[in-house]
Amino acid sequence: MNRSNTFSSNNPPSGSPGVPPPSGTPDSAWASAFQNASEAPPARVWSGIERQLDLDDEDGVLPLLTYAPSRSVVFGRWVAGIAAALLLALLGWWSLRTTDTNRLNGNQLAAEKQQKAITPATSPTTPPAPATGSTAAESVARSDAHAAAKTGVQWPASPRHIARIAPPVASEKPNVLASVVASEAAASADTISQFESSESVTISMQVSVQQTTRLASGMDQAVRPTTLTRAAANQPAPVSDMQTQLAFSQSMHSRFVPSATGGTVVPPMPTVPNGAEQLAPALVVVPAPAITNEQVALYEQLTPMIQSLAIRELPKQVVGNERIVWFSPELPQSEKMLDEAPKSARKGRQKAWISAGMAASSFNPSVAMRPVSGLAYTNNAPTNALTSGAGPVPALALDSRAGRAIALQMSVGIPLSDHWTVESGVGLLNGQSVVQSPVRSSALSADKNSAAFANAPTLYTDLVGNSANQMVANSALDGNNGYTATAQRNAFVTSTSYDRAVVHGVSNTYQFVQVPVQLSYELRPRRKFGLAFLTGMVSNLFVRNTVADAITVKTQDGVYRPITVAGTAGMRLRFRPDKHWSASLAGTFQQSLHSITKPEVGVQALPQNMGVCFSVDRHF
Amino acid sequence: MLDERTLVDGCRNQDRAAQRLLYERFAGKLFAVCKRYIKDPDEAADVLQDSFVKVFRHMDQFRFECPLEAWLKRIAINTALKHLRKNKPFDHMTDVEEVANFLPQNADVLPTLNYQYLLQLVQELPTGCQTVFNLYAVEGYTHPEIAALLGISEGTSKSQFFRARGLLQQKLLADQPIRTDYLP
Repeated sequence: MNRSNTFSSNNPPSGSPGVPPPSGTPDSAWASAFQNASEAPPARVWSGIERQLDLDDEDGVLPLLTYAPSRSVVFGRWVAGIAAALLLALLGWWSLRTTDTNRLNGNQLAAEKQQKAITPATSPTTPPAPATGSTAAESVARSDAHAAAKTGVQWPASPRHIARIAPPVASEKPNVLASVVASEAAASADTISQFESSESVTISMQVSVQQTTRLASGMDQAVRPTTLTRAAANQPAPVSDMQTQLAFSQSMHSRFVPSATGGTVVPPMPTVPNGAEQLAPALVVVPAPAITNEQVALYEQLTPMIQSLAIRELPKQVVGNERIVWFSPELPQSEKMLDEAPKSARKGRQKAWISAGMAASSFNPSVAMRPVSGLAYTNNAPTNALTSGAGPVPALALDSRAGRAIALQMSVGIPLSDHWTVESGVGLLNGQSVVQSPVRSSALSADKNSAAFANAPTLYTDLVGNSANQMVANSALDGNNGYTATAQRNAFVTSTSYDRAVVHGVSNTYQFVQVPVQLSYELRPRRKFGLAFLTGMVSNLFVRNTVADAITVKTQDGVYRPITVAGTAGMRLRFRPDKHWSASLAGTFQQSLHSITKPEVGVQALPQNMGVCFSVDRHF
Repeated sequence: MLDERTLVDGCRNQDRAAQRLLYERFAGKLFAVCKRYIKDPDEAADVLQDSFVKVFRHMDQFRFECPLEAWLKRIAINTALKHLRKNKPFDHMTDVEEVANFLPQNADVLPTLNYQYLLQLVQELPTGCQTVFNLYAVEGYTHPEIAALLGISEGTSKSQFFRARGLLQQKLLADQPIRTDYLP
């Protein structure tokens, strides 16, 4: 065999990942034996390929029914599909019914309004005044509305309805339509605009095609001799154009129907007569008024307006599934590049996600006494036990116990690369804790089992309450021990001592709005299971702290900083069964970087928060 | 039938129908390739699946500089080799040329045998021999190339090939007089 013994890849085909092309010559016998060999792979291969590709694709609807290959889930997909189809059909039926009902009600209301508006002017027994000039169309509308109100006929709301329902009668009688439009030139532009804008322009849709045609025929005879129309020039108008004109013809034709007394009476449009014969006697052919040059000019002026009213053809709705064309015909190269460019750009970009979750954690504000030198209020109380000597100060201490905390969080993640993501969001943290604090000495005289003793002021409540101007008043105890209202604010500085041996637990309920900004590094971002490491900062916006269920300290009370910053770190395990949905379980730790209380406050607090967060993520 | 360019373009656009067509057109041949390298049919199917996933994910890298089938086969071979490397079958191969030039060429014999029998013969080879034999005799790689691919020495590649060929010759000679059912 003639083989090249050099490992050459002089012209390696691009995109051959890992394996260079062979530079030798295969054994012709063996190569030919296997060259065209083919074996049908198991069916599961393609399903597995699809499953893996689905994780990369963008489409997909249901989060839980699109990936599992088991038969039960496949069956579940069928059931879900059938259920979804039934639901959609039900919704569609309901929507159609609702729409029809609304349309019916709206038209009836319009007809009733019209009836109320014209009742004084037109009564069934009194012939209306002749409609002349610019009020002709109004009269028509009124009369039609009146007829609608009387007969209960459902009128279309606009010319579009007419065109949608009206058969192509206009094509049968183009001369009629055109001539009537020409006659309409006598009407003013106001009439036209009113016709165009009025939702209550009423034209009987119950008149059958034959009736309409016959009516138009009568009009045809009436106005044919004197009209200057497109039809006269043997130029049939487009169907849509004529449909618009049909609307005019139907609204205008009554103007030319004379009354028995010789006046121009606007007769009510019939509802659904048994035949056009009932209408025929009412139609009297009369010579049309002479068309003046002004009318012709006006007609020419109005023609574009009329044409602009041409009804667009309604989109055809295909019943059932439309055919899906997977391959489009070959596009020009430029269009193909335009089409492919965004996709290739998208391919390299990871998808953002949003997340909603809840965290349960251990919250410890780590409350402690601030060094006495920082207490401004002690300057006014030289006799204060806290400052009177160096000894007692360190002995008074606060002990903070961790409590539970619940946080609701919404966050968004914007991938920076395959592994790196920047995350932010907003959350509401409600954390509880208990501060063990020495009891004010004045409370020691009370009965140990009494409620007064249980609610006795403590060093902590005094420190916080004093700063918040909400000194806890224990009137019974204070009264017994010489505390006065004016002295309450500075009670703890004027008191001689707090009993270090008697410690009460003071409940605290903190509320923060948290705005984290984190950076995460995720391992295996394209797999079902991902592990991410988080680190970042959290801005804690202080909302309130309820101390001992008695003192509610808010931001404006001057005790707590409005915004504090905490560092955060954590680890998150993400399960992503679907390309759009995932569930995450994260363990996080937060440590405030500085005290959440202001420097002038006698206590300091450096909250710690450690817990787990469960969230559901939606990937785009 | 759609041409390859249209298929490739469809696959680049993540068109599932085009991907399906490409799969249906080449899956049989690639599965045969996988079965030549992987003895277990289930594992071969897994390799085939991974190969196609790679193909669809890296379709942008194919620039029609070689036949599409050749490109697909190399990806399948690469995936199969990667699968084989997990079990490190090439670590214990020696370069003792114990069966070099054992038997003459068998070109006159092979055309009379059907594919399934030949595949069985190849699959019965030890994994190392099987891999080297496939790469050298069927794919046309040189021994230096095989050495680089498998992380073995060139001498080991040669010895494994000759060993494989010897074993195949022995089987052919042993079976042919009595196994007439293998004839196509």
